[in-house]
Amino acid sequence: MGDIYNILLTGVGGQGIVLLGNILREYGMRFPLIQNVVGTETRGVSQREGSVLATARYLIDSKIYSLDQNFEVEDLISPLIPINDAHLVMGLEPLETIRNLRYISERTVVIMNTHRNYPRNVILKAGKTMKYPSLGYIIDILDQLARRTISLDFNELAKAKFDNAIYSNVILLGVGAKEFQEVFNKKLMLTLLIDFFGEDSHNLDAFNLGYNLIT
Amino acid sequence: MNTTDLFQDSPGKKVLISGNEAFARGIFEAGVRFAANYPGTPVSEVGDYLHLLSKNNDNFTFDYAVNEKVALESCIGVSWAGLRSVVMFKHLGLNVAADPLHTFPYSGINGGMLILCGGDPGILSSTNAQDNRLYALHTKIPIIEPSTVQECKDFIKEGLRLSELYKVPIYVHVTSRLCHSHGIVTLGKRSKIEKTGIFQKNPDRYVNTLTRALSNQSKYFQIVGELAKNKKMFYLFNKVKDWTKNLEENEFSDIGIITSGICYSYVIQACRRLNIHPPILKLGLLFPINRNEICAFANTYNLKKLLVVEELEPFIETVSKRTFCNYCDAKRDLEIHGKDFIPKTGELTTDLVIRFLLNQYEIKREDLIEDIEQKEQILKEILPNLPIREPTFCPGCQYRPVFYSLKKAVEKLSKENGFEFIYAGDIGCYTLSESYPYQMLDWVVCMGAGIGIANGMAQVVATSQKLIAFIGDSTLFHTGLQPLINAIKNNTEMTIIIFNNYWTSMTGQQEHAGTPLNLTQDQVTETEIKKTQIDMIKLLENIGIKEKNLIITGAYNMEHLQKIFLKTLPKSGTKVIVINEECALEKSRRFKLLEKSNKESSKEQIYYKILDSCVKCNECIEYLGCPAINIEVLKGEINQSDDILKPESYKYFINQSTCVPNICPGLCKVVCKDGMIKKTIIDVKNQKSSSKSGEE
Repeated sequence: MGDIYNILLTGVGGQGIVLLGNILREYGMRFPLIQNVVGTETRGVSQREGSVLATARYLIDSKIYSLDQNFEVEDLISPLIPINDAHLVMGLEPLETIRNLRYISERTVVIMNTHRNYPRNVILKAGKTMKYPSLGYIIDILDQLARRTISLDFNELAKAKFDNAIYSNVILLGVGAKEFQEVFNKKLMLTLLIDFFGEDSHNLDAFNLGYNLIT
Repeated sequence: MNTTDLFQDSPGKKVLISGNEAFARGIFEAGVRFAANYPGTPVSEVGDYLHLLSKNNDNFTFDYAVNEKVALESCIGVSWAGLRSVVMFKHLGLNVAADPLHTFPYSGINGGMLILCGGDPGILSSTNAQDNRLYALHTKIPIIEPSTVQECKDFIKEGLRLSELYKVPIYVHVTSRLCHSHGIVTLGKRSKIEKTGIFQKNPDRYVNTLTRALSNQSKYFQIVGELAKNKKMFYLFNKVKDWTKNLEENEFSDIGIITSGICYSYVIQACRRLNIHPPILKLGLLFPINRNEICAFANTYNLKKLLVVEELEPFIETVSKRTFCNYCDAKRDLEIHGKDFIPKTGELTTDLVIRFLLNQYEIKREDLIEDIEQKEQILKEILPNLPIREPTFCPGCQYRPVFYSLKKAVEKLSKENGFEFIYAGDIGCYTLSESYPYQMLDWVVCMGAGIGIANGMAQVVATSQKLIAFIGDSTLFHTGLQPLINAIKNNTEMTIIIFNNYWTSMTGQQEHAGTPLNLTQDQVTETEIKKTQIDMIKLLENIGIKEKNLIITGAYNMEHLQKIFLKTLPKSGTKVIVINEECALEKSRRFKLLEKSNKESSKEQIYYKILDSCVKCNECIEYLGCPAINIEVLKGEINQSDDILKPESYKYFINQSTCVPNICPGLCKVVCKDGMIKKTIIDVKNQKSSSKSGEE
């Protein structure tokens, strides 16, 4: 018996959503107080620069994170998150974060990378009928709907600290882990990062940076 | 999960894998001797895992067949020789394979045989959403459908046993959501495989002509009828979820649910959310249906109302209605609902099931309904205003210079000669020519239908309308050759552009009949293309394309391409232009592997950079359309981009992590009229940066 905890990952094809989803699901597999884990990815024709979405859903022992749901292991088989039911949203791109408002509610913590990836149709003269919503607008909406929103240009931070924007996702993961310390065991997270990326100390530093970023 | 882990010998171990991985694992455990596939989303990966498995496994053979019909027929052959076989493809592939599918079940099978077919209700990567369960009405082929990732593995094994027990092929129905879901699976033991089978002649059984076919047909129908009555099989694949044990008296109701596949997981989630506990019959064996047991379900729980939750067509609903109406005296008046509320199009979700149950139960959950409606309202206001992301060719893709050059040539010819060009599309990456900035696509129907439809249209349109048909190499071998031969036979007025990129690329770079042999080896140390299994050019010559009408070229010289198009397009008769250029994505992956294994090979690194003095003529981004080029909003402008972006508030840059300068010869630099794109070569050995931008 336990409670279902839902993680949603959103972003653009090529940003590392699928890998991040794998890490978070593998975490659920290894953490002893998580009894079951499922998830999915939406890929479709989104190979290049398309919208990508992934989920990781845990059945957590009520001892550590109680929502008084009392699910059984066999009840957590749907890979989809129901409306308003995300607990943690990791938005790797602002436009893709707001596109997935369906899952965001007063129980959601949103961590969003504000570094924008502009779709073709806001740049091209021929198709310039759409506009990329301003960051202020996006953050306003998230603030209204979510329990807490942490938005930051993680690309800039990663470039400043590690000279490479590639570490932005792991910093963001660190922030998320800190927000839900009862769910994410820091030591296990670091072990997982080594298993997935090898002994690249930058990943561990990036995670720690994220973990200690918000106090 | 890597292949070694997926096919490890550790029964009892729990692993976290995807639905597709679970299918591959099931095929491995079940001792399948032969599997064949034509790649197609959502089940492409199953074939890819099995392909890798076959490479170091003498007792298992895998084939990327030229099309689904051949794949299915190969599996029939293996089964008739007494060994287990599984064929897999996407839902549309069953149309191609439908011819043998309607006849061979009359003869039955020997080795267990499964047809694993992935549906796409959301049309996420297909051209239609047809519900293949309806094939059962024509073919009487039994259908099983897993609901969880664990069942993806288990149903392969149970399905093969069922197939052998009744000597009939079994259709495994699955949809994209489950294929791409992840869950925990307990591994099992691998069964022994016989390497060699024997075919025992029996013309009465295998030669389906006249009276033999008639007699085989009635035998087959009889077998399916027997399976329908098998109670043991019913409860092997179908499960009743009964949570009434823990319920108090007042929580019982007279509503029950029938569902199957991934929808079962949505139903469970919705019931938990609404705190209702209806008895749920989860069908794993969808066809043939055991009428007695379906009736027993309604009788046991004394149902007054039955809800059917399924995607697409009302298949289970129709069967249920017929059963209760004709065969169940006690429940003749049972109220049945499903497609009168649940949409017949698109993927089902937990949210849709919640709304269905709220409606049917008439439960008072104003709070929940209000929450949902409030959210739906917000979504309705915000989502339509968000720019969508259209898919496009990869950075460095060899198709981009072709469409860029073609567009320029066509614009010139239209202006000068008054031609209107019509673009006959087909299935493959080149379908993306429909989006910005090319927009050169007039239809897409199914594999091979580009040239096929052009065959007729070219016979009747005005001479000013010129047809150009696109087709890729893998699609040509799949079902493109027949319409091509037909066009050549009639010397039909059209230009056919064959994109020969050596791989079935859109589904993940699988090999096909025309893939160069030296590229399919594990350790490729060469980049030169050598012998292929099928020589496409010789084949084209032999089916009668005149030498002057067969043009062969590479993709990256755009000036040369434009000349070819300008010369060829106005000519009369059937012309074929073959673009020989390997898929840039596959090539760059291979180069990366090469670099890793052989550090000596990369002596220099190339970078392209857009200068700050760029005047934003937009040729590179607006007309060439490479996604490695994007915009960066200048500092200070960052929060006021609510309005449409003004050119002075941003600059263009080339994303070095997506640009593939070792594959693409700098197409952006070629199209930049003002010379604002600079090429830099860094000598890696000496760590010296020699900017050759001026002379390059």
